[in-house]
Amino acid sequence: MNGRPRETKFAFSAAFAFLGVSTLGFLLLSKADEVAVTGFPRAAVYAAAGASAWACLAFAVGLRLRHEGWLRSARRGIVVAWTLMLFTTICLLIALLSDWYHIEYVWRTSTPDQPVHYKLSALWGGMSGSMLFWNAILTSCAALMVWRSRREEDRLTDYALGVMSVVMLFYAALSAGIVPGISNPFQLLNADVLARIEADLAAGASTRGLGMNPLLQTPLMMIHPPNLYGGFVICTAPFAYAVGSMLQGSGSTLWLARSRRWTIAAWLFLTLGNLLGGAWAYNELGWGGYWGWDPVENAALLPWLMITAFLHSVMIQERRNMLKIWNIALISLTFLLVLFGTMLVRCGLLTSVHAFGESSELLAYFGSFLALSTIAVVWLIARRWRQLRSVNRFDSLLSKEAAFLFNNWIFVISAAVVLAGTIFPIISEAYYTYVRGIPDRKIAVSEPYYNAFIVPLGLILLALTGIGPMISWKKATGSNLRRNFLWPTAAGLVAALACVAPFAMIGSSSPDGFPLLKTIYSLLCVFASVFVLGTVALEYWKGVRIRLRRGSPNLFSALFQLTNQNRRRYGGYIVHIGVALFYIGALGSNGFQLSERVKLAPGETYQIAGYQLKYAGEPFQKRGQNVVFHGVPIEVSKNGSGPIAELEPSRGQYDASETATYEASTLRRLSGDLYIALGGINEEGKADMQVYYNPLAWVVLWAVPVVMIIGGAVCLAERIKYRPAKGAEE
Amino acid sequence: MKRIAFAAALTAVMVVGAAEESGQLTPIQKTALKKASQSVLCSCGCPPTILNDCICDEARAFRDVMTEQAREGMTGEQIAAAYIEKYGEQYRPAPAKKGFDLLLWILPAVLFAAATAFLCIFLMSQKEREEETAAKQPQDEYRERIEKELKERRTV
Repeated sequence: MNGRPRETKFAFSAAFAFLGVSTLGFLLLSKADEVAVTGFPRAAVYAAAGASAWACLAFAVGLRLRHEGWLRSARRGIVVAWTLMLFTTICLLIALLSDWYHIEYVWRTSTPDQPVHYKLSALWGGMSGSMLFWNAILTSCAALMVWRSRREEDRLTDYALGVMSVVMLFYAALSAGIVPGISNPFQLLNADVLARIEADLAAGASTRGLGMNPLLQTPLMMIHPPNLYGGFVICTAPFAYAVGSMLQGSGSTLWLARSRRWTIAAWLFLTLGNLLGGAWAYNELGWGGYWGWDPVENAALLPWLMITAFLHSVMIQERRNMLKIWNIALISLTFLLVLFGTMLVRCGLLTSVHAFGESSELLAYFGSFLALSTIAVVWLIARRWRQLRSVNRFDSLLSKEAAFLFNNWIFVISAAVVLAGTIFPIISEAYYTYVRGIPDRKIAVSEPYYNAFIVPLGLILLALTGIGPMISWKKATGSNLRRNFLWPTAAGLVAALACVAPFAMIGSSSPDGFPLLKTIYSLLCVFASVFVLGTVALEYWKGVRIRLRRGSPNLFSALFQLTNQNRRRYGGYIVHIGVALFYIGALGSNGFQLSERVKLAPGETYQIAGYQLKYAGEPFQKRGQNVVFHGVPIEVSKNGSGPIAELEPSRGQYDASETATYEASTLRRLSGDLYIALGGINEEGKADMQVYYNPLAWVVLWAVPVVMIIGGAVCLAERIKYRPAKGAEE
Repeated sequence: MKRIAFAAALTAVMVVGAAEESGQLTPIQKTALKKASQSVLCSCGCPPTILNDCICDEARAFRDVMTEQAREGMTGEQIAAAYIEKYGEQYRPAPAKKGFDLLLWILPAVLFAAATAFLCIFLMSQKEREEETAAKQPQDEYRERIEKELKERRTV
């Protein structure tokens, strides 16, 4: 028995004690001098970067020499870096809540009248604060890895922690403000600017601080960025285990077991981050949709596509010891795409609502790390090529392995399509500027391109979502296919046939018509969604029936027992239900959306999707805590009955911002959303609005995230047992 | 028959006239406007947003101009072309399928084909290996059987 558990416990106890004492000390000292006290957290970020650097060095030496003393020191280095990053984050939250405007970050992202919850979310509302938050999550992941491996001498986790410490050092240097283009979150405001602000205040200026971007002052921004950042950052852990395994050179599949929960957590956070981002866009941007193929949205989608492919292909390695190189490539690509996405957002490479700003130094820094990481991964794969070659082989095209391989194939092509669309404007601009000598010829890549490729690929993927879980390993027989797919296929066909007439009717009544391809895609989407739901229902029914025969008291108890017994499998099925629901919701809200520009004078009415809208009354002004809403009252009635709701679309004018936000007003019903965004009131006194009817939008925005959380949580609760795969050299 | 056709034409003229007089567009003009505003991007500086979906002040002003163009009888394509000519290529929602920009449209298809070919080659190589193994397998089985029978004879 070595001293690891005791030492680790001591390190963590000391870390918590330090956090408590230092935070208390910081608060007490701030009463005396709130300017001078910011020197502590400012220095703490440098110290955290130093601790990360130490951990890198100590892991390198310790693993090379197989010296336990160095390894213990390295692990302590990780705990120290984590403690310091947490301390700095807490200090920044205190600074934001206490309105310390001498700190540049606080001045940029907060105002005294900003609601408290938005002062808290200002932590990730700006460049350096969000980077600090990123570091806090990353170091927390590393600390958790240290804690979880305290009981045994876990060499693989040591290697993985070595990789983590390199990534920690990379990001900690950014937070410390060492790299130009991003400042230390505790950098003080320039004396000249401070003097100008004081002068403005003395002259009667109403507020202090620029305040957070109004678009970010929304409840969804409290949860969307933490989820997305969480997903991005947690992807580092499975990548670290994959690289650690190659560095260790054991060729074992242990890294899959070790990284399993991290992978699911990263996937769940990325999924929620993307879905909540869609909900934010829907509520805040006023264009009636939730996905606009914005470059930064794409940057968040790319790692999701890769990690989802990895989650599937990893099952083949666990079960059949195949696709070892492929799995390492997939998780490495996930990490590299996270880096790429971060580079896009932080360096202002592309125009986006989410971008932070432009910096060529930052671009060089990120680009270098991205290139080095890529070279390192390729070199390691080449070095371990023989060891990573598959032992087993595919037996048939009609097998689970082949279905998962096709699934991976679609995911990777989809990612390539999205990546090409995202970076093509840069490539095109460079070509026209440097090759053709035509400067400033820019292009945009938007919906038509993505829809042309992603829709058919997505439909194939949906069909595979139903096929993959049900088809047999090795080789499916005719009876297996009949048993598992007959009823779901029949259900899908019936549903698709039932939709032919309604779709044709909607198409004929629509002013733009309903193109043939769109009709075919819509019918295929209905078929595949119902097919997936059918396969899951069938699988549940089989299990439940057996449980009931074996004495389960009722259906719910049988369902619970079934799910509890194999959480990974049934959690996956729940996620597949979420996927099918997503497609149904997306079909409704995108395929059948009605959108009209409506100009109404007071008292005038307009009809859309069976609703009658009446501009009832006069324009109003409502004062919020730091915002004034200028809107119009719209009375909604349906089928000639009395008013069923009053919507108040408005534009928000924030005290500390010149640009106005679009505050759409939505009537949510089970069949769809009536969504009204106010553009303005014209010279004739008419309210100029864009009115949308989005069928089943709630399914995508609310139902799918809930289902995904349930499915993801069940998968996370899986009992992970490490079992070497057949044919593995352990 | 002539009377019916005349009445229909008259009704159509009256409907168009009434719609124009009241400032509203005819269904054809409305379709042209929608087609045009759905095939260009707004230039307000926000991320690429289809003009039809954008409600910013600039987008509304552009759409007012387009409404006038539709009323003048321009088709959706003509209105969109005029917009692109005036404001630039970057306001096309997707690059034109010509010149260097054609590459973007070809690339996914090439990728798809290459990935499919790779997948087929990979699966075929697996199949060959499988056949090789299968060819060897019976011999091993026969050898085992012969050895077993010989062993039995010897013991007898």
